[in-house]
Amino acid sequence: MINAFKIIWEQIIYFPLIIRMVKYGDQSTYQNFFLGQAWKIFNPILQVSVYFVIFGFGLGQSRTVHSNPAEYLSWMLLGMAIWRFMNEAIMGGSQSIKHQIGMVSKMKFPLSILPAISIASAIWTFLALFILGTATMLSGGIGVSQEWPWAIYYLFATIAFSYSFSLFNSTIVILIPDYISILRVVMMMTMWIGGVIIKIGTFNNVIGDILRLLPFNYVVDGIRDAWLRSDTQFEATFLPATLIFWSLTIIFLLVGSFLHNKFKKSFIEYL
Amino acid sequence: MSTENIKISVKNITKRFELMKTRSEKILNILSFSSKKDRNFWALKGVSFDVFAGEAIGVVGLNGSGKSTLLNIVSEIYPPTTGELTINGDTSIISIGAGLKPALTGRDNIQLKLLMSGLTKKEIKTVSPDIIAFSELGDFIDQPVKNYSSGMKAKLGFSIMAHTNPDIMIIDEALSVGDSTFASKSFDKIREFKAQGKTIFFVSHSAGQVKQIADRVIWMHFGEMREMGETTEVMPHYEQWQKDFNKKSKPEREQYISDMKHEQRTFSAVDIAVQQLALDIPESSASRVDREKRKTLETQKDKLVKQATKQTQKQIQNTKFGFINWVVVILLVNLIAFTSKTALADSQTKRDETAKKVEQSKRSSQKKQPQKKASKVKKSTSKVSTSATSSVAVDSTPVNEPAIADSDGNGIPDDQETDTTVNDGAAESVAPDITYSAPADVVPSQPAVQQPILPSSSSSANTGEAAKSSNSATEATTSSESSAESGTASTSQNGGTQ
Repeated sequence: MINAFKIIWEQIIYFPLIIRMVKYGDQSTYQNFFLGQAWKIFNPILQVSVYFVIFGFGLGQSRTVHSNPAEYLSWMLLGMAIWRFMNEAIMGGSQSIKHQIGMVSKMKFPLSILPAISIASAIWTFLALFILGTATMLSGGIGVSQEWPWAIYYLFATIAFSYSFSLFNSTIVILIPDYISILRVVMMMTMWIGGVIIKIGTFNNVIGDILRLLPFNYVVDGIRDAWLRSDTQFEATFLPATLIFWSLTIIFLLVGSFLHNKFKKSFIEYL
Repeated sequence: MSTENIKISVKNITKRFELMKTRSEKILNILSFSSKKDRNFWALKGVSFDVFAGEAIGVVGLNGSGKSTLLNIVSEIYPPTTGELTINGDTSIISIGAGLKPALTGRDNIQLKLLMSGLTKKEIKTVSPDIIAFSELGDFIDQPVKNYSSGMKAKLGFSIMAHTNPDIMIIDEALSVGDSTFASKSFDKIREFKAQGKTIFFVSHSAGQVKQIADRVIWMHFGEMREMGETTEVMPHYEQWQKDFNKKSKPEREQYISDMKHEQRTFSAVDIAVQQLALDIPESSASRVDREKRKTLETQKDKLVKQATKQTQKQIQNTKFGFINWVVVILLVNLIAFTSKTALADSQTKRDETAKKVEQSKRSSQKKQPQKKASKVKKSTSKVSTSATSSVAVDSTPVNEPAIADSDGNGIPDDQETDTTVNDGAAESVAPDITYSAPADVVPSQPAVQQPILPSSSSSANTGEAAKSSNSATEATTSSESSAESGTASTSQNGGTQ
């Protein structure tokens, strides 16, 4: 408990440092590319356009489930924004300590903010897709929903979950090297089970019920519910999904901060 | 010197490395699931010393004598196996290329290191020209560090460290690679730091450098601290020993080194463990009791080391998964299980409801069509009775249902199972003798009884079943009523759908 609070407190007092590190990382990561930071935006856009063509037109998602292609595109972009953000944040955050330990151990640097730096630097992807999604919405004649402030809540929830999950993973990755491969596969699957491309609400069976309760679908459909248009199916399971989401977040935070504090002084020995 | 000025205090530090072949083996060993004793290597065999503020300590010794290990432990890169380590102040370590990112340029590396030490952008802007000037790198500052020579890396590393203002500077052979002009420049800087009361802890193979800046010298010798004292005292001893050692023939030297290494492998930290655990070992074997005590201690060797290791680890990893954490985690897990169970059951009932509504609307639309024609047909009453009984059968299932649900037990898939059983029951219990008026009496009462239970009942399965039963009951009434209105419905279709 105290460990978890300490770690949260560290995030708050080192917040300026996190921001500075993110700014610096943005500069240096894309330094060797001709197009520089534009890749951060191109990469997801290319992915989205492929999915849009295949699922929207090829498989007819934009006709059967959604009223028109613009609506489907904006619907997918919003979900993709949250999912890409979460995916990048969790994958980056989980490996952040492993990658940086050689450098960080030789100076006084709070280890627990490394996942936060990865999460914060993934926010650009979110913003790019989110703005794109909103633009598609507006150009398609769909206004922003009246419940838009909830979008901020869902973003915050995503960040909280990403942090506690990556903190938990970052220690496990160091202890068990194989874990990262499992995590990669699982995170890839969350795009499908999170309902990023195909609407989970159309699954009228137990599988759909279970998927709707998972934390990934919670934030993905949540932000659509808040920003695009209200989704009765999502709102029906809002309360249980919220409880499950935050319970998982707290469990990961508690266990993760315990593991982190237990092993942080001997991380380098495990590598 | 007073104890207040102690910057680094090292007590009986030992460091054991496990020479494991694979990484998984190593990790299992660290997590103490399995241990193989014959692969231990003791890089440090119990080292104790104190370092005071404003001192420069030189560490000398042959290669592999544990100098770097000692430095890494002092700079807290990895923890000791046993022993106590206290450090008062910020440490900063510098070795060749330590903490430099090879892909970044020198300038970016300076920026990154300063950022990570917590400086703001403005501060970095003011400091970095000084660092660049001190490092003497010139135009190379904008080249990636991977293209640097080792001397350039050392220069850059030292320049950065010298400007981050640590209390304790730890220098790992970095000064030996720089040329003499840079070395003398660095020594001036080190003297400056010494004058400011900072502590410098450095490793060097160059006797000249050590004599120049060290106040005291630690002579490491195959994991042991052979001597520690004033530079003027220790250095001659060390140099003399080196001379003597070099005089020996090659096989003799190799034999000596392999003997010492073997000792490091077979060493056991028992004595140190005993000391740390504060057990008293009787020195003399005067009395029989003492002798026996000594014997038992000797047999418990491994246990003692393990105990001491654990004690040190406890000091280092001073965290426990506390009682409150357990309680919170268990509560949350239960909460997840409970909410998911309830939610799944709820959505299952909702789905049933909608499915039945769809079915019902289908049925009514089917009925309306034949109704117009069937008004003439008026076949036999027996068929009407079958249609009535089929709806009655659905109606009567709620009575059976709780029993079915209980027998199935818990959870989600059971809902579907019960669903099928409901249908089966409907199909089976087509009893011809049930009268038509019967469902009308039963039906209104049942929802009235069961609905108050609905919100209050906590068990998810029950809620689901109750809701479902009430739904099916109401559904049955409506269907029966509709069939009553229609009177002579085309019953063959009706029975088929059910």
